[in-house]
Amino acid sequence: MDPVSLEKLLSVTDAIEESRERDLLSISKFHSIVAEQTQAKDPARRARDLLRVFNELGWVRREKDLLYLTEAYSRFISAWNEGNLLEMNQSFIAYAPYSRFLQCLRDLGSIQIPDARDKEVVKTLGKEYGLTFVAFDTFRFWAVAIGQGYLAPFEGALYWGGEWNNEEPSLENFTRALHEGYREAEKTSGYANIGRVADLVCRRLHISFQAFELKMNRLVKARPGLFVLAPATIRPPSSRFQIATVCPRSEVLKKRWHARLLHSQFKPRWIEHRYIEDGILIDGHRLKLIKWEVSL
Amino acid sequence: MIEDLKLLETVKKPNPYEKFSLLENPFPGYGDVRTDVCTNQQEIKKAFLDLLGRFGPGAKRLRITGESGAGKTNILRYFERLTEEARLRGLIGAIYPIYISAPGERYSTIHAQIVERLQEIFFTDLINTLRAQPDLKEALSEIKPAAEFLEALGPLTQRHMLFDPYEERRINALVRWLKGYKLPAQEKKFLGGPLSELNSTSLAIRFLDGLLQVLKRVELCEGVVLLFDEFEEIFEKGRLSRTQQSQYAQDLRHLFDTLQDMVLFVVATTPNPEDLGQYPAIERRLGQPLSLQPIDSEEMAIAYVRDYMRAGRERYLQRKREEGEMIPDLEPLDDLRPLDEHTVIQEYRKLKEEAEKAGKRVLPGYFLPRMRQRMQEVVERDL
Repeated sequence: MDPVSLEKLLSVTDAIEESRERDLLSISKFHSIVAEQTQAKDPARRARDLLRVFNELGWVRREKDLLYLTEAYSRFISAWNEGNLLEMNQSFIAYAPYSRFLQCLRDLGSIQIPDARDKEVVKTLGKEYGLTFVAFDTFRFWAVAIGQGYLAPFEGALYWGGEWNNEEPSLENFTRALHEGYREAEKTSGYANIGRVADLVCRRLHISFQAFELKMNRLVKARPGLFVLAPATIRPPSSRFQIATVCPRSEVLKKRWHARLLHSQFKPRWIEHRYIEDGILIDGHRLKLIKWEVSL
Repeated sequence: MIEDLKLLETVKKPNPYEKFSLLENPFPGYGDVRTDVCTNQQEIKKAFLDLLGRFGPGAKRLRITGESGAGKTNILRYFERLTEEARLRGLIGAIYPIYISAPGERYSTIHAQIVERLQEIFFTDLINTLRAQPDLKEALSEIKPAAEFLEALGPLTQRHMLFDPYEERRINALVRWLKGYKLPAQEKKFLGGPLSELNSTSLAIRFLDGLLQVLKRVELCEGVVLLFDEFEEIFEKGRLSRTQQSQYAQDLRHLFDTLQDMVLFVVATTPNPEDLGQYPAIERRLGQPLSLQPIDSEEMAIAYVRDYMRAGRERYLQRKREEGEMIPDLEPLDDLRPLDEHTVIQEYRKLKEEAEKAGKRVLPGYFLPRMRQRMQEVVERDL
């Protein structure tokens, strides 16, 4: 079975949310949703594969021609609605291949994105972690989009980025790493590109870009005046690698409702892609430069 | 034949809207724009009229913000018509509106739209004026940014030519040159002077400024109201490359500064185009944003419906009078029939619930097409 892409998994899940009657969904409805959302060449096979994934995730329980949506499914939907990446990841970990992938990334710390032709790497992945190349290639997108991996944009390496939660790293440790990153980064008139600083901090602390953004938002509130953030940019984009993040479903639903009000076409985009040079969002404002004001 | 044509008249279906003194459904559909109605938005209207009323040298800019469906295009088209009406009624000087939209990937897209519109409005009059008053040319030669344009215009304004068989081709070549297109040698021959290529936007803007100054000196145009729609497209994240975006911003800055004496800039944009913050020079020039007001109450919803009914009935009366029918004045013009207040309120409440799900307030872009549907249902039910 080919691992399912996160975008497809989310599209199918959203369609289930739109169609379910209480906690029930008929198998035939599940099949038609998969056919519509995945546009697969062999929709019946795709539906069987996806049903296996849903089963492993513990999201559904099958009884004859009916699927019962479980408590775990509801927890996932509520986490997705809020854009709670940590909770979403907890839900996905129940899927053994993804869990093995995270273990692999944690063990290795960082890995250069392998090429399918790199037989040695492919062999190691298969032998030690039970991962095919396709599975690795799929789950690296999952991990980055859910904030468990960090794709270093300037070198194309994938780093373990899951060492974070609400408490960890503490704001104190984060501030220290940020300051070090700022000191190391190239500056113009005292301003450093926030993407460059983020790159250093994420790798040093083993956190994802999303965690960096979250901690920055907290730090700005906790210690105003520590540094200045500015919207302008002084650098053109330097890389082809993009940051991907799962959007809170509630935000996508709002856009869908808005499109309905305007009678316009709407194709939901469950994952937002951006370049590291696009900066970070602080209180809804996109900021790209940082200048330290106060010494630590 | 008359008899046969009469037979066709009997075949023609009666218009169901006529029963309510309307030519058609008065409400716009999704994405449609009406230029003659603009309900509410007093703050923006006042700001616009203030700027229009005291049109003079110095910066004149108005930034209108609103989400999709808030009525940005509607209010710009309304201002376009308002400016035309005000000029025709002698309430303002020779100030002309120019509506531009779809800014594309580079400044030349909007430059071409402006030049095209100026040509449509003024070129025939400008050529005739210069032909009739050749001594004006000396006075115009003082306008430095217009020197090359006047040279190029030369062959079109020669008095001795009773009939110029190449006139249309000369005008076309002139317009293409002003738009910044590269002219083949054959086209260049139609114009006067050794023409420089307009290969830089600053040169194109300089010549545009020259053209406006010429129009002012020959008393054809005192100023322009430039109504710039879909401005946000330039500053949406990821739509243009960084290089394209910063070049566009630089050109806009140049445009705003160079033409500020002759042009009132009215810019409509979504509230916070993601990349606009990177160009403080542009933000500063646009000034403080004025937001389009949503339909926040049932009374306001009824006011909207009344305004559209009134506009529909005015069109009906005008058409009938043009056709020579004796139609007495309708009183009141803004009567809601065949709708009623209850229907309007019901629709408004339903829409409000839907808008809240989208995290929005009720906007004209959602409300008016719904009223169009309701109107259609009611009229068809009565058939």
